[in-house]
Amino acid sequence: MTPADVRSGVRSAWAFLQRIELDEALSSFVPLGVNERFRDTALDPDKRYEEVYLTGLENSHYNFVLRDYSYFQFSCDVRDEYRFAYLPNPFLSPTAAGELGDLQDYVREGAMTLDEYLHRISELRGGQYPPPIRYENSPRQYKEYVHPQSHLHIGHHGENRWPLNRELTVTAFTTMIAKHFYGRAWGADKHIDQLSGLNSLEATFAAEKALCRLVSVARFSADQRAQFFFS
Amino acid sequence: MVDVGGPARIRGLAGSGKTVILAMKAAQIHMDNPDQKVLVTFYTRSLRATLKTLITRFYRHYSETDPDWEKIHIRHGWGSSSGPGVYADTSRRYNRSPMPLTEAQKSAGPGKNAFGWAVNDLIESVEIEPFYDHVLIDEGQDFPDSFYRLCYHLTKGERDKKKIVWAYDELQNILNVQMRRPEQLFGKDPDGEFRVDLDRSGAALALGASNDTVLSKTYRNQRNVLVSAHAMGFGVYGHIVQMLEGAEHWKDVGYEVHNEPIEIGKVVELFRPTENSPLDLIPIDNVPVIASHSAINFDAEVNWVTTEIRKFIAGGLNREDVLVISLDDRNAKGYFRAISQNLAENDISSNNIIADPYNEPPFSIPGKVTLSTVYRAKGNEAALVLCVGVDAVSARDRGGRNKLFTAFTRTKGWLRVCGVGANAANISDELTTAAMTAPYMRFVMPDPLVIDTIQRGLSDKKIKAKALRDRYLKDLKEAGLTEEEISEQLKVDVI
Repeated sequence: MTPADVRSGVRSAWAFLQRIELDEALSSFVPLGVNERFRDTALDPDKRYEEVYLTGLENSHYNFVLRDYSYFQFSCDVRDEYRFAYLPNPFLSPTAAGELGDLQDYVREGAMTLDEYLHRISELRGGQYPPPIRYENSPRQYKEYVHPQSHLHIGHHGENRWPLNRELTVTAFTTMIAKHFYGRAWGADKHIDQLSGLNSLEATFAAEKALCRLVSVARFSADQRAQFFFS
Repeated sequence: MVDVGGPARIRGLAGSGKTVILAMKAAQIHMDNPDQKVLVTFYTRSLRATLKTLITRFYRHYSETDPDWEKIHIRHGWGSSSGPGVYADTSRRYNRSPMPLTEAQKSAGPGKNAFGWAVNDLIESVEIEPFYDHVLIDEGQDFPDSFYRLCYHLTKGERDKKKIVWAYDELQNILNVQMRRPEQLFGKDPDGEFRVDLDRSGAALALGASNDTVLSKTYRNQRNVLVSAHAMGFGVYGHIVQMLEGAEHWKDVGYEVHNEPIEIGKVVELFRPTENSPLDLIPIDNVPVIASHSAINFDAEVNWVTTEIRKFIAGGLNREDVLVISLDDRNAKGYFRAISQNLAENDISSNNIIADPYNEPPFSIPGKVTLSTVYRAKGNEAALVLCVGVDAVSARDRGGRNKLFTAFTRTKGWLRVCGVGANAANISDELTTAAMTAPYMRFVMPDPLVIDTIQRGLSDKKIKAKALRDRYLKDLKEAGLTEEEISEQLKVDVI
């Protein structure tokens, strides 16, 4: 996958989020470069996740923001070396996020100013939120058992790597996050695919998987396949 | 910059340098008295980064280190239930949880200022001890009275010696509060005396020194942009909703009045001389300083805006020099979604200020076009400002007119204004007339009884002193002294 492919994927992912009404704000389709402040915060093992999240948000270091103020980052330096990240909002639980729709209606109706709306959101707090998920594909860094070419980092922890035997596309990653963490928006899309009979989003998700290339055998050994991995 | 040893007010138009003066003052106090605690407070959240940058820049002009931020506190007036702010910090110092907005709104009741209520509740519940040696308040026009009283209590020193400086611009008050005199802002002490009375505290000041400064010159806007913004803010080519108190007030803010006295029903002609608006762009062919557009629908409006942005960027403007302001609060998100998408298709990134409810985000980020509401744009500026959704502005009330003025005066260079339908067309026509008439403004003086009059806010004593000072300055000029020599002669600075 090239930087141009990632750009095109971000564009499609944004269109998908618009379709299921999770879109809040778009910054760019172009893969992100390095933001030193964000990098230093993200790499500091003593920083709490909240700080990492806020630093990215404050510096607009994202491609797009979701309705619950979680955001996505996509970067690609050179061909086949790319990283995607989903940074959930650590301040809003699913219940608190459910209030956003009402508040947004108040703004549209003129019963609440936009500033009041933002202030109210900043005061909402919840106890549960999804884990941050990062995805990396790096043939250059492949090391059997230790550093899979294609892997996920789950949670605010840099040393776990969950192998995949496919190279995720931007849309596959975005769709996966939407399906697992935004069940209400996912379930609200009721169009049925004529061929498969599935909710059309399920069909979309399946189609996205088919577009993800299998990792080369040279960088995903038979011994490693004998262990657990995402398929 | 002279320390007047007590409270002082700075008034001036948008772009006259109020924020810069406060930042310079904070840096200078910190340089001279590094152990003293300084509070710099503001209303618009996105102003924090600007203030920090300015203070750091001025301080580093004389020092190789950064300011000690333990001593200089740059704080939003309110803050939040978990973040810093003058009200929030003070509450926590007295073991009280800052009141969330929802609770404050419920307690204050409908139509009341929730922030004002919460601050008042704090003042009445605890005895607040002085905490700061100096308090500098920017955007003073937006704060409720109780906030001034909180600042009064937080400032060390006796009555008339408390070093509180507040910057005030009555034309930028988009919250629609009337101009308030210091006596009202700070209230009375238990002995019945006004806590702040600028005449009383300034009685012993040296000749030429002032604790109530009006800045007549503006450095941000092009002359014709400022005059046009004034015309729109008052409504002189449409529906006049407000007016300055009289000829002297117009002179205070840097205009010449060509046909005094100003009388109801007679034509008034005002002129803004170059010396009071020295910034002038070299004209560029086919790139007017001011342009407006009335689109047939939302999509056409978005296309017009993004085409303008692309033209300017292709012409060499940096992306961070571009600011889009939505004048339509209800649909701001929709505007920003559509504009950012259109920009992204052309590989132009954007920094959407309202996409971050948690931080006080930097207003300008290198490589990104800024998208903001009027409220979040206050105090900030950009070379190119594009105002969208102008059709949502009510041109028949003061709040709407002030919103136009505030948005238009964010530009250092070019101004673009657009909207959809008849209301946008009317405002566009008005703006065209204003731009064609500038640097003049001509209108028939309305009856003050049917509009809001913005008070000059000077006492009789101050008016006489100002007249004497103006005459003295004129004499010095006629005697051939330069500006520097006059300044030396007076031994005066701004404050």
